[in-house]
Amino acid sequence: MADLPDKRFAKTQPEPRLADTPRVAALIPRRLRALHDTIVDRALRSEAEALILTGSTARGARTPLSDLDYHLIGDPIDTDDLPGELDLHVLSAAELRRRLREGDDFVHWSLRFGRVIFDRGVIAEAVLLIRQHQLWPDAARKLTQASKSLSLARAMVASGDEEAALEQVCTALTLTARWRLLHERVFPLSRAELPTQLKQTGHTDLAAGLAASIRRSASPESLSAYLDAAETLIMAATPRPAGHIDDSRAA
Amino acid sequence: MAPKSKARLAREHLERALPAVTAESYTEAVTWLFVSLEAALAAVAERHCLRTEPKHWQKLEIAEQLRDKGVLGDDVAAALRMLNEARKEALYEGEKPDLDGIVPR
Repeated sequence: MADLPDKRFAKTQPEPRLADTPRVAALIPRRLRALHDTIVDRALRSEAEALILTGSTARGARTPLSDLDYHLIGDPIDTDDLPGELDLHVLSAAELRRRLREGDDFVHWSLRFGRVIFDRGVIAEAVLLIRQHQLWPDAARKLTQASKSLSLARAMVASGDEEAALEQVCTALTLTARWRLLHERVFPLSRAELPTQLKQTGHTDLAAGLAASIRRSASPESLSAYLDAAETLIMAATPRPAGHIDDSRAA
Repeated sequence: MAPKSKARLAREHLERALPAVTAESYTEAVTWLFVSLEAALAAVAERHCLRTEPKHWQKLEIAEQLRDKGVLGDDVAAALRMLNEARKEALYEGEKPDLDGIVPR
């Protein structure tokens, strides 16, 4: 069990509001609980403003690919001695607010679905900010990321590195799925839950490709077809540049 | 067609990364550098009869094992960790990655 923070810290920072610890712990695989306790302990000792368990673990939807993800609001803490499975995203309170206003879907996700481990007030304020300004993640920003990732995935498939290609295709399909759902005003859940959301919104080809790439059951030959499905979806939603010639009409 | 060796993949990925580094296309640069380093690590691990697992953190552990055996220096595991973080920051968050600390020793 992690030590409680040194009482002297309470003199300079408000007492943190602690989450329902047993419920949060139940979401974390047994083998990762000591790591979780260490992160909570170090975050509290560093006088961080808040710590949120995020990603698939927070949704109880871990996959074999899942890391243990957190958003830490405060100064960076030392994690060099901890397992690489840890994925700690560190932000200042100002950066958190900036990213919310800019429509970064990851910080929105954490505030919507993450499990707050402790909060000295910054998370409560951020939630209020979202409500007051009706903030929503920027789908166009996600589209830019998805397009870049698809292009990288194509190049990775062509490179002949099957392992790297599979991962990059999974990333590209995930980003495409998140863009498409945000575009349709559906908030994307965790990666493992995206295929179901895609099916519910009628995007069955993308759902099938993403499900296969998450399971790592996609054959190298099928990867290009999955990328085609994602690109078709993007092209259908993207205005064509001026001067574009429709080949089908020309023929 | 026979699959390419990990050593060859590492070289080819590096050749793709270098122009992106020069052009400061940071998403492409960190992605290709990362897969190049992972492929290079897999090639070294094969030579030392170590099997690399698909997860990135497992590859990191292999880099640490090879460091403990004196095969690799400290900087490989550190660079893998940093490039993986930078890659995720660039790809998933669209942010310019923080590459402080990635310096040749």
